[in-house]
Amino acid sequence: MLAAVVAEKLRDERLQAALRKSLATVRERMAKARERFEDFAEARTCVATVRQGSVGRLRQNLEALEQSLQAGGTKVLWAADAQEARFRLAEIARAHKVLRCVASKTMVGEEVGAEKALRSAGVNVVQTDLGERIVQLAGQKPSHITAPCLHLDAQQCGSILERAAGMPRTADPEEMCRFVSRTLRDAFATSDMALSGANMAIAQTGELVIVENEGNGRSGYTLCPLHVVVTGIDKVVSSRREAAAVLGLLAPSATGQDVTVYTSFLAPEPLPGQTRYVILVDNGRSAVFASGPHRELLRCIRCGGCLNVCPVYERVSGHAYLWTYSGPIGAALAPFMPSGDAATAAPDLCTLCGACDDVCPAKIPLSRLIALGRSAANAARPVEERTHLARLARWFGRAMGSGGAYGLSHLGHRILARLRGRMARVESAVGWSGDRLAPRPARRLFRSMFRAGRRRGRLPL
Amino acid sequence: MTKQERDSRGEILARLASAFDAQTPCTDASVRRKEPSRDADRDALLNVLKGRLEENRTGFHLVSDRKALLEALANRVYFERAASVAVDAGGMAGEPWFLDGLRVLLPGVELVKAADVSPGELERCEVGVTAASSVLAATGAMALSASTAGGLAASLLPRIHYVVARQSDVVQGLATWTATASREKGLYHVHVSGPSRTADIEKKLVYGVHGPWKVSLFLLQSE
Repeated sequence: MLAAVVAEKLRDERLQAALRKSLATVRERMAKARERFEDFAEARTCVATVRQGSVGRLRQNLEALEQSLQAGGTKVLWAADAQEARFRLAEIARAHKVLRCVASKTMVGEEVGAEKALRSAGVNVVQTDLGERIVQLAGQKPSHITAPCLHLDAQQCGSILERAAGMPRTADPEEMCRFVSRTLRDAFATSDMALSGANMAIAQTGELVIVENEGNGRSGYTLCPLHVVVTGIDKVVSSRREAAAVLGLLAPSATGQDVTVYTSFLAPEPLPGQTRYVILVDNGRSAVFASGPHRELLRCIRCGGCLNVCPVYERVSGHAYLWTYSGPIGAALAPFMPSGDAATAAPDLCTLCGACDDVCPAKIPLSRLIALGRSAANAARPVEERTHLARLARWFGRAMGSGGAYGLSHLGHRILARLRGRMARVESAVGWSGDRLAPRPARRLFRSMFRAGRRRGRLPL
Repeated sequence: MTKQERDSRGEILARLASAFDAQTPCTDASVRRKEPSRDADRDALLNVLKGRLEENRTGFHLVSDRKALLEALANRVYFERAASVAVDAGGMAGEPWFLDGLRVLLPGVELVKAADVSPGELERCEVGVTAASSVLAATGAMALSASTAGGLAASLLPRIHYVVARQSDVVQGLATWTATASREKGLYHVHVSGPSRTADIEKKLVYGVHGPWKVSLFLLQSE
């Protein structure tokens, strides 16, 4: 299944062009933002230490957060899994007789299927982030943690808005933005409920931290009488100081900005006349917490920086990962969270090049954890598949270990390399990429050169 | 007990407790930017701030005294041909001299106190005026505070947003703000660093999405 999805993405030239263009721009902005730091490596170490501390004190922080929120009048609900989170959301919507809901970007909401749950309770859900609105109208899922429609070019976005929302035909992002914000003004004014995520929740003060650029999150929590926050249990930090440390690297790593346009610190006291719920979602996070080295994954601040630099993500886009989280963080998390087919497929979408390790603001050793995740994913594969892979590995080991077999494979490779055009077809047939030629093999094997060198006395051995 | 009636809180916390090492010590680490040092004088801080505001597409007006501040604000309101102005009466913007002064200088303009009306009504105001409790030089972010929906909406719904602050409110960066920011009950803090924007489509920057498309800071020198 994964191979078919990847092949389809690689064939899609528009997708390839859109990804190349957007990711090159964001990487350039990220590099400029890094220059603003006295020592970016030290800044990453600070954030990693802060996040490690927050994760280490997760239980105490969660208990303190619950107490602070409840003392302020915010209702706190817990959801052990996605099903329970959906149940809680539908329950809230029914209890408050909600008919319309404006949603701002929430990856945890995406993860648990919040929109679906609300729709099942008879609620009309309108996504209000520009990119989210476009993918919602297209009936798609976001393909990036911070840039939901990264997989679409401007013309495609324009066609979607024309077809699904009646916008006059245009490929100008500015005109599209004006159209969407104009049509959403009414939604904010008439909705009974705002749904959002939270980038952080501060245990000491009970404040919820929401960062954004568009102002749709602010509009929702300011204008709607009911505000529901769906967030992961890993988003809790101890203090404002810890939140400040994380905020220092969040925007530079996500979009290459110094700071996002809006950073809201929501008091635990709902606004006068407003009701607020916070749903704390586990959905596999406590299992990651207890899983030894993978606990480091909970340090993630969901900036999406690892996606921006990943050479595999740049070719296959987020949808190829087959679940909510894509890129290196998605590949690393998939085997440990309820992710369906992605649990075994996503870890394969990695070359272990380590580009993500170098940019992660929380210094998560992503490539190492993806490699470990592959072992876990392999253990979950059907026995026949594992036996087949083990047989292949044994065969490969024997061929590499025996001089004769290796010499024969080298000869075969040289003959195939002469048949230029056919080489790609052969590689494709054995499951290799099929869209580029492997380098032509050297004329002589290293082992024969080594032997000859020793005979001539040029080598000490 | 059905699935939905189960004690998820207890289950989750128990799983976290059974895992190893939950006592990692707290750290005082903070992220250091190339920001002005604590000893930097006010002018140095101001120069850094000016640069950041320009990058963030935020207008900047340095005014010498109260009279100059009110005149500068009134001029901008006239320039924008605004018929009504929303004012969040918190901080400096709530002081009697400020509102009375604006009323005198803007005779034909309706001044709407944000806290007195429903937030939706502020949408008809072309300009919103709010006071910043701090201005962060390192990033150019202006820290606003409000405890009502109207107060929050004054900096969000009008298409033009003017922020007033005193030069003594300019601080180094986020770390300084977190140490000094108010913890008053029910107070919401919002850091605004420029006009609302998006780069969702092909990473092309577009300004003025759901919030103001024009933001300016008026900094009062004398106090």
